[in-house]
Amino acid sequence: MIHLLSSLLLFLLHVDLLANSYQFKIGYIDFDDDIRYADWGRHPVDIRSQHNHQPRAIDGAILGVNEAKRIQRITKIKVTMQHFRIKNENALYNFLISSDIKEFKAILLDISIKNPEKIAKLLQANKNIIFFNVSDQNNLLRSDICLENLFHTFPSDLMRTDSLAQFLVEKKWNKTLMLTGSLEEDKKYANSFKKSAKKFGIKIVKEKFFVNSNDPRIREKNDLAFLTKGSRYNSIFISDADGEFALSVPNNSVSPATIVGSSGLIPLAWHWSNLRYGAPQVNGRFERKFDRRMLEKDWSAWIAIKSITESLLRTKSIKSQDLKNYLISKNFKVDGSKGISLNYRPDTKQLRQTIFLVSGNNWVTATAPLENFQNRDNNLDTIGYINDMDKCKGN
Amino acid sequence: MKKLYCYLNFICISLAICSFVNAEYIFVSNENSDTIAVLDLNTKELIKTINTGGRPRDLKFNKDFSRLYAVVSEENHILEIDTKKIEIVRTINTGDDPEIFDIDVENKIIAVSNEDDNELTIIDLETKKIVESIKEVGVEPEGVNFTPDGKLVYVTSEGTSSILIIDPWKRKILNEILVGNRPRRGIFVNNGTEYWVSNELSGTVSVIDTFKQEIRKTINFSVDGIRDQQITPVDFAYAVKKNLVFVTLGNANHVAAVDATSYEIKKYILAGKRVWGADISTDEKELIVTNGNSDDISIIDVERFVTVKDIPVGKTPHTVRIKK
Repeated sequence: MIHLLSSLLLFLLHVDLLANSYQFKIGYIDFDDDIRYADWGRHPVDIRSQHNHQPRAIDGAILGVNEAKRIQRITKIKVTMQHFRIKNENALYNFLISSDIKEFKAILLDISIKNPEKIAKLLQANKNIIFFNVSDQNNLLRSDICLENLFHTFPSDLMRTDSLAQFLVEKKWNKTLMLTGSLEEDKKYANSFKKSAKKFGIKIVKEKFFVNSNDPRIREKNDLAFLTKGSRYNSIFISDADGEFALSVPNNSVSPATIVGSSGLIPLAWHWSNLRYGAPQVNGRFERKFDRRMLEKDWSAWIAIKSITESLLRTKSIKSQDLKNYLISKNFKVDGSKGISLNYRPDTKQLRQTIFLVSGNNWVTATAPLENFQNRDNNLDTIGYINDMDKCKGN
Repeated sequence: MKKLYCYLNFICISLAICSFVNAEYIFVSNENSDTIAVLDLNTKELIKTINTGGRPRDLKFNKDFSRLYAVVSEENHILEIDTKKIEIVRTINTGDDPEIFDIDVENKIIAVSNEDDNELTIIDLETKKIVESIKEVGVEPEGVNFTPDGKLVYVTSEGTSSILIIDPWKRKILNEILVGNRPRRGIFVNNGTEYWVSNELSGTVSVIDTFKQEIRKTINFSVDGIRDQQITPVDFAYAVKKNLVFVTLGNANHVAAVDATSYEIKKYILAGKRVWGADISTDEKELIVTNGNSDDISIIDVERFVTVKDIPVGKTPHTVRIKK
């Protein structure tokens, strides 16, 4: 009888334990109409479409959620994720004010934002949800628009151009010719490079605007012999989000020059060729699961989930305020397999991280910040927006 | 004359054999040159290089030091090496991507972590066959240590920042303890009453009370002129008679000497770049560490707490073991 009672008690305890295990629901949003992921014009044997092919970053998040299952033994918190493929930004506005969104504690945004001001207002209204920007590198989101509940795991344009500027200065290839494309993104990236040039002391010899065409009547804009004539530069920064024109620039300038930006040496958050600090294990898990290389957007989505699970693990709380406070606290540390512990800048909510400068031959030539660039508190703060010098302070 | 020559020859050979048998060796696995370098402990000269194949990492001796076991990660096996002849005698399959392993005190089984599959594989040392692969051992399991009584195995899981306590005989996970970020290796200290764990990205060492199975103390490090983020502890060496635990501090390029009872840091000793693997000689006079990013080992004088010699051994030296 006692046995029966005690086993009944044990059973009740067990039920109680189950009831006490919480669920943490994560949402993942990307767009149907996203030019970065568009299939239009892609051809399997065309190197240009290969070059520009970007698989959806959700795979990185799926890997992260899979790994999050392993912390359940300690946290008793079940992490789940639901994917929403929304048509476009207009549809997102409606989604953000709908009641569907309320059940989520965190949402990953794999989108390129066209109207940051509008999105900002809508995100702010959902203050109990923690948003992670996993693929938009727009500087504006880290400088003018800083929200209490929007974190960025993807490196900004400025983190990238600062990394390149450090490299050019260290190599003394600091007389730079700029080649800028016609897209809005090209101009933003070029402006970011100008900011970095000023910060690190690079002389911009000239900025020229190219057009990707064969029309002989505008050869001064499409022919590299015309675009790169003169010899006062020793490096070229090319800004070409489309990527096609950029392919022809290395080894093709009138004067010898190192090429950085959209071709030559490219700044990336992650690259599969990096074999140190546990990166081969992360790449291995990803490749076995998805049968492709892990790219920087995948890593960015993966580290967003990892930031969430790290906070759940340490705070043992599912309250969004506790998690937000922990994410920006000094105690927060997350392992991104880049050899250094990563954390968030409290004002801009940008994930501090190293940037790989990757060559066209798939080799990590350098890792920024470069050793000789030092910051009073944290060397990772020599790239990107730093807390005490931007408008975000106090936002 | 011929007789004398023969006689001399005999003496020479027997002397050579004698010195060979009594010699103490240093074994170093070179992760990126696919070799194990064997050095004489007294002269520090290179005696032999063993070709292992893809990515040799952890090394362990059996209890009488007649055999050295070497994990070869990319070949998915462990090599058994005769430590007298310095020759490979056989290979033992381990399952995918083995990294760190340990042998129980009776030398009955090997427990090896499979980093890619998140498993702990148990191998019978008599039959050399895999008996079981324990699944769901965190994410990226690494450090493996048998308790001194051989009953349990403690495994560090880098991806979940935790220690798993496993019964390898019943093949069951018993408990999991949360520690710092990216726990790499562990060591049993003070007769097995404590398990010290290196948290590579937190830059700390967690001391676990093995009876209560909870953290008793967190040891912090601070090296003059070095950023906290550069302090990335990895491996341990335990000088029992001196009551000191040595902790390699990775990118800080220093080794910390820590008092095993007061947890006080006695000294930071400069070594090579990304110092990680460590072992101590039987007489506890010499500490030898591997420097992953400067391709050499450092010999540290434990009496004076200084590095006295750096010896190049191969690319990315991983583990060092001294034959006792």
